[in-house]
Amino acid sequence: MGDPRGAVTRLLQEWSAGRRGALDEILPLVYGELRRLAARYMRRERPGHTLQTTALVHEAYARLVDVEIDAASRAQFFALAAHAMRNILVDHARARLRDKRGGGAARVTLDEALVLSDEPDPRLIDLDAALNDLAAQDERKARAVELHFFGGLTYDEIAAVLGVSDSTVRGDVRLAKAWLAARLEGRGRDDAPGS
Amino acid sequence: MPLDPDRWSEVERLFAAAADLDPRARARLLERECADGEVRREVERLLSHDAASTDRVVGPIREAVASTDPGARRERIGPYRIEREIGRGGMGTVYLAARDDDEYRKQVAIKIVPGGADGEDLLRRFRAERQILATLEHAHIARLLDGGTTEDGLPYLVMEFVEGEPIDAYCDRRRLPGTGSGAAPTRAGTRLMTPEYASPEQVRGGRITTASDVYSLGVLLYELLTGRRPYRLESRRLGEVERAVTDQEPARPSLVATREPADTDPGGGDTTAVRLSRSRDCLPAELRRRLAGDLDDIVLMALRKEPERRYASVEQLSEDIRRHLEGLPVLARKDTWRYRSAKFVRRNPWGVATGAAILVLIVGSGAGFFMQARRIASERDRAVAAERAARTEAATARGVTDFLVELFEVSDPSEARGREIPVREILDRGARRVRSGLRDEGEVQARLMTTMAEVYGNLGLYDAAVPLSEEALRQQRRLHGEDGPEVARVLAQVGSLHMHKGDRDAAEREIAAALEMRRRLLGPEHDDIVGSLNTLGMLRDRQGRYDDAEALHREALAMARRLHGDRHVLVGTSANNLGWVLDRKGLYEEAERVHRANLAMRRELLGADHPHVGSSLNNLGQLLGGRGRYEEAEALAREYLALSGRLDGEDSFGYSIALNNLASILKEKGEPAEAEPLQRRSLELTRAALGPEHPDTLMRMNNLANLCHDQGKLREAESLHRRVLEIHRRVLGERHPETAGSLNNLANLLWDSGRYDEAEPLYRATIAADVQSLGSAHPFVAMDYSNLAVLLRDRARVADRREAEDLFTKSVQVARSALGDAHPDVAVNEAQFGIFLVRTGRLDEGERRVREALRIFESAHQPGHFQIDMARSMLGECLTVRGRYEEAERFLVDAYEALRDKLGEGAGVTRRARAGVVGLYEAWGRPDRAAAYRAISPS
Repeated sequence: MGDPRGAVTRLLQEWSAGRRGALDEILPLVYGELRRLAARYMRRERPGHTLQTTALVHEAYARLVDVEIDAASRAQFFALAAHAMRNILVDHARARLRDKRGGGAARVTLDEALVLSDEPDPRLIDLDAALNDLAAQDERKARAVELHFFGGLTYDEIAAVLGVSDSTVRGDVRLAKAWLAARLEGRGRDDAPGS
Repeated sequence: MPLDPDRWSEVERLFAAAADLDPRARARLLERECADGEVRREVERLLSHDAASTDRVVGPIREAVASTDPGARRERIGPYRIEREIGRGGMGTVYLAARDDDEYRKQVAIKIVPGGADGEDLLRRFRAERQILATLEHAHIARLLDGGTTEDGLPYLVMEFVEGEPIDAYCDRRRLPGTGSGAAPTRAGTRLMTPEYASPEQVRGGRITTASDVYSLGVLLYELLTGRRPYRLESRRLGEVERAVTDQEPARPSLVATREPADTDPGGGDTTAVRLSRSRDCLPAELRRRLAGDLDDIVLMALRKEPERRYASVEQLSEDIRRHLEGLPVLARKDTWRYRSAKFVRRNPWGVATGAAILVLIVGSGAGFFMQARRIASERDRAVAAERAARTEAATARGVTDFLVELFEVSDPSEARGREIPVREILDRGARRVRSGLRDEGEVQARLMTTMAEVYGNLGLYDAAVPLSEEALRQQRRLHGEDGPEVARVLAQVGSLHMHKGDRDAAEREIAAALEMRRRLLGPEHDDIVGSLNTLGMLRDRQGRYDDAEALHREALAMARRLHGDRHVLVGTSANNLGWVLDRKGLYEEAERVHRANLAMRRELLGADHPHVGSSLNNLGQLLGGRGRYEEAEALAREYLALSGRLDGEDSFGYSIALNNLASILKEKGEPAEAEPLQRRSLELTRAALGPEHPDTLMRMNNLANLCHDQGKLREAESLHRRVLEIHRRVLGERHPETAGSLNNLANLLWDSGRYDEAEPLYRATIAADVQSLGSAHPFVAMDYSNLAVLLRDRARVADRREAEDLFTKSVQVARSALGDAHPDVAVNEAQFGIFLVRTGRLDEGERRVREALRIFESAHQPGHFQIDMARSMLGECLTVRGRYEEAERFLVDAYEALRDKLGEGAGVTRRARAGVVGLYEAWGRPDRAAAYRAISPS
């Protein structure tokens, strides 16, 4: 494929010009870049650097897309990156869980920044499963959550990706959060009605 | 199981309707509107989770999360239990920890060294660090207790920690009675010194240490900054001096400097610094403004009574000065918000044209090289370097101090009063002394030569800089062999100096070799590699290889970002260079974005009043000016001018740059009369700072000549151009690009006055010089071809036609391949070629080329740019030849009037447009109108 940078830009332009299939080709490139970036952070090659998922997605964008592209293409890129980000975090959590089960999880103190952890969190995997369930009920809302929380997209960016209005996105995210909260709380205690 | 779609949309609808209601209203709503029990339960369940849900959802993501820092969630390192983080920086993170297996219960500070390391290397690094700490053991450096490797392979060091005690108090507490200091003794016995520079421990007959050198430098700095010695002495009797030195607290330099200097100084008459000050009108008044703040603190820290409360070494003092120059917070006082708004000494090459700044630079980099060497070594082979460093430090400190004292000492009594000592002379004296006086101290001598070369280079005195730097390189190679970070550093310097001097072949070799060596020695990513990439990029830019330059600057930028994140001085430099080369390539929009973002970043990082902010303002302004966005460009140029006035002073060389650049924008804007006084002032300041034959002086003179040319003052323009050319030929030689530039400008003037036969040989010489020094693919060469071709075209000799056509063809080819198809410079060549074709009867092709040029100008520039009018006028000429007079009239007259209003009647472009109008009316058979236009005189 050569230089992924040029490739992503080119594919986005093709997508913008109407070739829908181009997105499928971008995803592995975005995924690869994010993985590489994330792995670098996880290996802690840059001590003292706190990493927000949003920042990471933007860094991937800066590295992969080297020319000005239209807003829709840009939004698509971030949508793909949000999805990739989710997979990376969840995979990472899974892998670490395999390694560390029974090893005694360390206490985690959190500040406001969202930064990649090298510590497994089973709840992330639960969240991932709950998001899949939500997608089965209402795919758009699951995507809105993914875009907002994993990709760091703003409501209007999400609106552009999903092709709906701002206020719809707002409503979607609100309902989805409530839905997920209910689902996660309910897990293992009482089943959600209707299941 | 999911709800069915109909029910789900009912859930959505009701949730949205109810979410913002209070509980009773919600209940009423559901009562009224929801009959389906399942839907209702779902809505109620969602509503009950509405308020508290964010954390519930985000929590797991957040908790996929924590600091990436090693040990952020560490609870233990080896036998130590981590209590909290107490600091972090580029070199690692420091934690407060306690050892609780109770071998001994004690709080310690643990530093985790970033980056993996294999066992062998780690051990070496650890030993080296311990070695350094042991050698330099000093109050400012806590004692090393232990070290090891964390479970995941990161090396750590355990150091003494004293809780809650300020470092100064800690130092005091650790002071051993009797010896006076914990600092490493540099030599036995006392040292003979003039009382003025003697430290308290010296006058008491105590032990001389590195801290004493720090003190002496502090006195020197104080003197240079304020024009006074730190103490008020009634006499120079020893007892008196001793009392003053041991008891008096020196006043803050800024307070001293804001008072008028006394006519006499009881301590010993005029000091060196005062004499230095008087020799330059910008001193000390200009420096005073800059004193309050960091420099005050730096100087006073160097002058503390207790040796152990000073900087631990000359190296540390230098590092702090370097930090100050780079606009970073200094160690000498606590970091406060004031840094954001503080004024900084301008780290502008020209800011060093003051005695104090030269001193600062020499202290800063002379010993700074030592720092650098040790930093590099720490990544490679620290154990060896540490030993050498420990040995060399004392020598360096002493060497630098002695050197400086001598350098600024006025030994010749005739210099004692009144006579001005030009900066150049001070430097030359220093260079002689470095060469002859330090023969035995290889390392020190090499570093000082490098530093002197840097100072010369910053002043544009390349002839003096290059041999010094080359000698330093030979010396470093003798000391360290062909390879090594220090060798690479000096090699990079030699290369950069050659580049600035215009010796591109040598520059190419050396810059490339330095880059290669650094990549090999320093690993894939390193600040020095970023530096080398930038330098090589600048060289490519000068060679006209803009694509290569762009790639190099992009690589430098990406590397700087990976090393430091988005906000860093090096990121700023690399982005600035990238913006510059994008501008050169005609990629204006991206260039503008890069410069704007960089300007914002630099402002945020460095504060509004910083020289780097100035360079961003300037580059952005020049970019916009070139695109015809004159109002914005002028505003930026004026902002830059004001900033330079604050940072450099209005009599400084730095200010002359800002004046020059504002004048050039006013010129392009068509206000040559307003630009001229600014340009004259700029020339005056430059000449005063650098002398009458410096390339920058000549550049200002050239610009002034062009301004005169624009206003129709052709005689003055010609005489200025001829002076510039004469000096360039004599100083730089016939083939130098600068010489070629002034040949070209003089030829333009002659061509514009119709003196074709005089202009022709000059154009030919320009081509020869540029092809030889820049290569035949350089965009300048395209311009040269076009210029000669235009002359041949306008002279209209049939015998020249063939050559003119060849030249036009080549000019378009070279320009297109160097600059792409959409660059305005390509359009200029196209349009001129088009006119040639029209005049030689090839109407269609000629008109096509002119229209193509017009299209390029229209898309590259803002509406109203003079090149658009120029092309419209040229199109009018094509239409005239075709006999489409009415159409032609519209283009020609409109363009002429627009140019006249914008650039004035006297500008060459305007006069040529007017000639086009005259030509039209003659062809049209309207001689009276033609005569009316011909009669307009450019004044």
